[in-house]
Amino acid sequence: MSKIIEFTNICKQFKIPEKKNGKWSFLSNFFKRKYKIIQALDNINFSINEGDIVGYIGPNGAGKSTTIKIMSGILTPTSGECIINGYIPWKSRKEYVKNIGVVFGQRSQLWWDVPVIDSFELLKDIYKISDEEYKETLNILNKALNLEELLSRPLRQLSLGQKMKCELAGSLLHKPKILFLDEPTIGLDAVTKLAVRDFVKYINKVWNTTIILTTHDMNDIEALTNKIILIGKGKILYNGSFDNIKHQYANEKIIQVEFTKPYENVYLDGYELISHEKNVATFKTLNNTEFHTKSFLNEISQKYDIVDFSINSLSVDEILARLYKEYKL
Amino acid sequence: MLYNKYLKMHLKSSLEYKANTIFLSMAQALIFIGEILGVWLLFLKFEAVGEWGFYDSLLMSGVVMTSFSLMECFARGYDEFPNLIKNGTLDRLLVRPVNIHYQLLGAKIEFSKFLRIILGITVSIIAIINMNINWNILKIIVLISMYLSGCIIIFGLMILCAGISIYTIENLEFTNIITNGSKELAYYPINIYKKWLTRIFTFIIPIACFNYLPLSFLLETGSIPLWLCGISPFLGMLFIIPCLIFFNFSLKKYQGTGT
Amino acid sequence: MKNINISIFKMQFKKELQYRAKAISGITTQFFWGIMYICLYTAFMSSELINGFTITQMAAYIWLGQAFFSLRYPGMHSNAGYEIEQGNVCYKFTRPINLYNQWYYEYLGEKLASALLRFLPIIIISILLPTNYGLSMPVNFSSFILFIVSLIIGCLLCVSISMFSIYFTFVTLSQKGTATIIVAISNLLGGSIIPIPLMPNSVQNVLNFLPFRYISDLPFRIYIGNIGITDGLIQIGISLFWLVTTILIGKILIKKALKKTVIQGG
Repeated sequence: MSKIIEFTNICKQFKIPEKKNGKWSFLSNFFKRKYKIIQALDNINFSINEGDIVGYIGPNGAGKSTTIKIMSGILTPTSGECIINGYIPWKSRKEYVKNIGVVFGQRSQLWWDVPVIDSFELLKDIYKISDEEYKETLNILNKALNLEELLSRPLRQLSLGQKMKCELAGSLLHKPKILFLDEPTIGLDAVTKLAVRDFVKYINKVWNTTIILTTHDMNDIEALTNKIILIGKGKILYNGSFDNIKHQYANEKIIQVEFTKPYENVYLDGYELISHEKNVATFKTLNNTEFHTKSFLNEISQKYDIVDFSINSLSVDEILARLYKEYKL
Repeated sequence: MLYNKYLKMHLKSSLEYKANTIFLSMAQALIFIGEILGVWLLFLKFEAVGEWGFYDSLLMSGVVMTSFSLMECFARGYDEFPNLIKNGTLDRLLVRPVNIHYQLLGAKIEFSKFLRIILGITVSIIAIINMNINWNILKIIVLISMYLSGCIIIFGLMILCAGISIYTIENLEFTNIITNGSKELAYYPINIYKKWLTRIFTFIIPIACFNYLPLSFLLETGSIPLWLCGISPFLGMLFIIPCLIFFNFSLKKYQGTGT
Repeated sequence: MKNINISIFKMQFKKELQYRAKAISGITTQFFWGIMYICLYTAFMSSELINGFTITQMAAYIWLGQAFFSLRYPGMHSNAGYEIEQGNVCYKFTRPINLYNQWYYEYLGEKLASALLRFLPIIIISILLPTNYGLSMPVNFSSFILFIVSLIIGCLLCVSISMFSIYFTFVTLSQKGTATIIVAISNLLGGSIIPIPLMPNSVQNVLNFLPFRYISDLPFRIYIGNIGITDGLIQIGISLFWLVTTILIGKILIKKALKKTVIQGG
């Protein structure tokens, strides 16, 4: 597979005003303001293959949107090299952006007061799409997203989910080779979320579109991506398959036990007690010790009388929270 | 053509708020009428200022109001540039394969300025009827070029302000002085002001080129060679070039810092 | 009740202080407009004395107008306007507070804060400017006191006139248009476009019977000594009358508009 995106030693610095806190700070902030330099991106290196779906994740302020902005040619980095689809995004902007699509989750590219189809026709002209191609593409998008009824209505009458569908279609009309999705499922209901995910997968399959996706919804990541890049404080912390990470935490189990009667000072060797209330206690396996159901049951039933127990693995969200914690984000 | 489509879209969306657009249009026309009444009151009291009378000022007001409103209508994207930065629209424009100026011209068209354009033209006609001008073909050309020059110079100012706003995101008000201040001064032939002010508005911001210079040509008065007064509107149009260069430079800077 | 109003006022005040850049740009803007207007009227006033109004007095009149710009500029309480336009105003009914008072104090706070931030730099700079460009000292102490009193009444009057724009927003549902109209009318009739002493006498006589010139024209002319102490006292009485009248009318109008909104369901 060929590499379509290559980031080499990308750095980006910002100068931002520093705010003091305190009772009268609004006054002193008013009269003098200090600036500090923050390193939004610190030596970022990665590459993405054509046809990949990559999840770009990290806590707020980690540098996600800065990276997306650099990749879409809006920002120039302070230093470093970046070649996408054979172009340097910020150098040959006009040629480069013909082959990308961008969806900023909370901002619309469509017109508020006119029917969606009119906005599409405008985009057709902006991207110089031929009549036949436009018809064909619109047809495909129409079928995949069920847009038919939405197109004749002005954007302001659509629900959040319907808007997102139109937004996605709008950014794909010119069949971009690369699609950037900035929080595409934020605020959507469960049904629409699934529809959006299916659609993204579908587009990736039929057009081999490379998709870069930022999100806080780990289910997006699990459902869509074959690779994640974890960024924190401007640095790349992890770059690889999501399954690997899941595997790392696979040993970690949460065991909930129900006793026949309330005990005091519940304690079990080799396990950590997370919570204990009356006759229910929750344990966790200690660092990377493998969990054996049989031995656990043996040990606990020797000390206490138990009625019921359940074993759970870490959820995807918990894994991410664990990751953030581990990297002190 | 792409621009036609922009135009149609803007028309469609302002028709969604027909009543609001019409009301706003009338309100803005009222402001202009108030200002013209102010000019009239001043001349009622003082009769003349320097060599100029009320109708000379009225023509100046008409020229500047027509061109200013035309540009506020069609170049609104530059006028609202700080907002485009703030709400992320600029980023959106930058990910499209079309020249940024073309997109900015299409980004916003403000139809509520229409009544003011009509008022500006009306005021000019009233002034011209009441002025003593020996018309010939050259003078008609100069008269038309005054409006053209006004449009282009004001457009230049808007581009300049849009460029400045890249550095001072929060300061909506500040850049207004340049455009609105110039507009207000140009209600009168600007050589009535102190020499230093007249010079600024002749050589730095060439308001004079659609103001007292061509007016002198029409009336065949003043101490400046008439041929120079006659071509001044065309010279003034060059003002847009440095403005464009500055804007493009600033936009590069924006992409460097990204606010 | 009093306490709520004061805390509303304080909130608005603090909010306004946050916008440093806005204030600095405001000061710069006001300064340039000041210079511009002085140049304009100086050009007209080639003879020294017009209606007992000298160029020095004119310059002071303009600078005071720039320094206390926000106090004399009726506009639109932006939150209120937005809430009415969007129909969110019904949420306000859920709070146990008189809406007219709340809006009044909020807008007053906004105006006072913005004036307090801006007036000193402009006063200082304009005092330093050469004669015929700069701000002169008040003619005497008693007229200075009278100036302060009339300025406070003028500011309250300005807010109570602005409150009409809230009522008209209920009617027209366009806050921008309404505010623009109120500003256009009161600027022309209140002497903000052309200082009233520079208008023909017949026009001045008419304006004396309207509330608008008591917002800023009166205090400024007391300051520069164009209106004497006795005359000033009488006219302050008139401005008090207008203040009470406009507040009463405003309260009635807004009550009416709110009732209608409740019935129509916002």
